[in-house]
Amino acid sequence: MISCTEFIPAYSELFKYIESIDGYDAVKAYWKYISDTSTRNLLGKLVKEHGVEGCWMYWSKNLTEEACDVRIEYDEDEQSFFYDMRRCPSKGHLLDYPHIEPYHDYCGHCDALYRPILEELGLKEYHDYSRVDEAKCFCKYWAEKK
Amino acid sequence: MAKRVIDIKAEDNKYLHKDFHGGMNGGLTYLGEQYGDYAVDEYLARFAEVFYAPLVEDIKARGLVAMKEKIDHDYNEEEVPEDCHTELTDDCLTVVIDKCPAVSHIKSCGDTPCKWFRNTTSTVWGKVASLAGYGFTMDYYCEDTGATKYRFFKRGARK
Repeated sequence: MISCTEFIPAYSELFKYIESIDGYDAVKAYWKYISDTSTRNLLGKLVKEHGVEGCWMYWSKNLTEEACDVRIEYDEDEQSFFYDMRRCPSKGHLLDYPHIEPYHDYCGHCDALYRPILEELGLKEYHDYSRVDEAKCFCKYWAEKK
Repeated sequence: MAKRVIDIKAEDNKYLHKDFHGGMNGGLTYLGEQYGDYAVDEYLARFAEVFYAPLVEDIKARGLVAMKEKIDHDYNEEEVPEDCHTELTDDCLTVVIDKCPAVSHIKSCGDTPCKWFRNTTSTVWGKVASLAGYGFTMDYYCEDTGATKYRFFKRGARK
């Protein structure tokens, strides 16, 4: 068993491995597979059932269990949700291991996993991934008012 | 309430997201189905070589006690120390796992561990043992519960 506390470096190495044998497009194909299966069944199902509140339900659990340094907000009136990640534990851990070189597009998986499903369900998205090298990012989803 | 807010610091919560076991299972499934058995083992061996390099050095320096500490630590982190039994002698570290917390969690989510899931033990620890100059053998593995027994041993000490 690889402990779940060591999954992130295993994930990063999996991206590296797939790219080494089949190229970057194969890594993106893998992310699409996760998005179409796992993300659709978890986050997608919650948003389909609860709207933007599904984002809150999904990320308030996951980001707590992942011990993030983060602020998350769900505004019921505005039908908007955002997380302001001050330190992502996944990227943060990868940066903390002195002997590990994170996959060059490690943070690319977040956008690839979530945005397509949520846009498909009608949500709009804004993100700022300009500081992922410091394990920081910002992401907002909202439903347009009718 | 119109607005809900969570503002947390990393130290507010223990880092233990068991759904990552499902991520591991999904990754191995994808790799095995797309690229075959060899790819799964090659990937896990590469991961072991890269990520557990400090552990390998520790085993070389202190012997199998370092491996015992690592295994005990992992099951403590997973909050199931009672399911992990390690016994260390001069030549051998025997590990008996009554029930794998990863397998339990994956099944509790309604999924099934893939046929390669056992390799997260056999291939990974086999590679670590090899790099550290030790032998490794898995005596049994239960697909249903992840219960297993495996041993690390000094080469030449086990027949």
